[in-house]
Amino acid sequence: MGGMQPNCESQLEVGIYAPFGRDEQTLVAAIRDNRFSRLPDSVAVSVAPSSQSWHRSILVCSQEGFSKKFKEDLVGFTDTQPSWAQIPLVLVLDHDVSAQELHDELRDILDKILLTVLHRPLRPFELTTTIENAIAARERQFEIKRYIDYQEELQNELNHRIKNTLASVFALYQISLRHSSDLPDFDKRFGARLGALSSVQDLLRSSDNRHRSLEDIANAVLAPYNKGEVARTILSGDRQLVSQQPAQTLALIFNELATNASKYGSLSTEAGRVHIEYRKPDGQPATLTWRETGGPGVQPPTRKSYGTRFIEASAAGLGGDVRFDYQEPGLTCIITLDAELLHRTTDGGTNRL
Amino acid sequence: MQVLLVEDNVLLAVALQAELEVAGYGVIGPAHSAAQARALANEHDFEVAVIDIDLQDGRTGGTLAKELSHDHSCAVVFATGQTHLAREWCDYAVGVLKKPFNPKTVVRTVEGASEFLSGKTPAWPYQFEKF
Repeated sequence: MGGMQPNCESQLEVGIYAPFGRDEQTLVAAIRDNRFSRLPDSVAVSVAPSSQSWHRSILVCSQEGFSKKFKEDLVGFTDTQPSWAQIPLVLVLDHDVSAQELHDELRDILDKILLTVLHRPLRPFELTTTIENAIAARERQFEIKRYIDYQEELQNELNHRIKNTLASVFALYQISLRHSSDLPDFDKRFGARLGALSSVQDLLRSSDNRHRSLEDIANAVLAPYNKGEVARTILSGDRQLVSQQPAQTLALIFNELATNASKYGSLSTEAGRVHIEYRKPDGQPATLTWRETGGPGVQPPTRKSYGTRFIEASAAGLGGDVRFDYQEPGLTCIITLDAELLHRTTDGGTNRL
Repeated sequence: MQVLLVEDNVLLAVALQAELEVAGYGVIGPAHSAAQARALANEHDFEVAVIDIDLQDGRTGGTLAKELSHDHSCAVVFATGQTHLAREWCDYAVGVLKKPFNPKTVVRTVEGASEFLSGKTPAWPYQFEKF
């Protein structure tokens, strides 16, 4: 959290209420006097501004300015003041005003204001340091406000993500149920898909940044195939950052391809390899190529599997299409996609689903 | 009966399409953006549109619902976790199916929407909020 941004919403103002004699000019001059300290440029000094501006003010009020009207305005203002705010009030009183009297008058709102009492005759150094502290305190309040807003946004986002993740789990469950022959088959299919979904969930959660690289996604899903001494899946190509929803889609694509390869293709043998290459040429669609080598040879499928249909639907969802090439030495699957869609967060707000 | 499906979560779109097709509905789409949905809507007839609020081209589901309910004589149902946003467009939709839901639920919801079109009072699934 940085310092205050000088915009109209948050620009601070020192409001001076000192109607007696030349008090106003004296106070303004003392506050502007930079022998002891310099008032930040972003802070304005105004004489008797209306209470409309108090939500961003520090109030400096003399004995004579501390009128019935001022007190009523202050009570009215503090009633509507948000819980994170506490308006700073610097009172400049005659030396004979008793603290008890003042305390009684302000009793009801003391916890809603930041009160400092100075006595006449004023010492410029006392005044400027007091104003400085009041400004710092007010700035801090706005920082807290921004932090609260940020936390709320995160919470909404998280809530939203959980809903969408559960919706995806429901979808996986129903899809797997529909395409399973029996309970052990369902267990295997649903388990693998849920695993793929979970692996990107972890990656995204452990990251402040809401994007992950395509490489990380592939590595996370394909980790079970690379447990030995030699990696069986080899990644190459351009770097690509991916936002949450497409990350989920890519993870499930890798899972379907890997599951297929472990049953019929190159991941069914120790010697088999999968080469995954991502290319993003300027001005052309990006391509993701899954190329199997060293496996048992190619068996074109007899019917269109769920995996194939899912990859087709996914590629369409990512603004492209897919081609399956069943030729020796192994399956090659080429997915074209719109790199912009991989990276874009379309979830509204910061990144809502 | 034809259903226009507009959902940008590919996985969910695949599941919803499968459920609707198994139940005997024809699925137009799935469209992933309001722009895709508009193009499909101009080429096909459909009685019910199932629309998410957040789509690939932004928070466009609400405007899409307004256009579709105006230009095509169809019943719109929202399918989203953003229930509060869906309610803002309640004049243009029958109600909202609240995520997360079992994809099967969409079948009962679409049946309900089509019954509603013909003046009946459907029994909605419990995740469905009628506007």
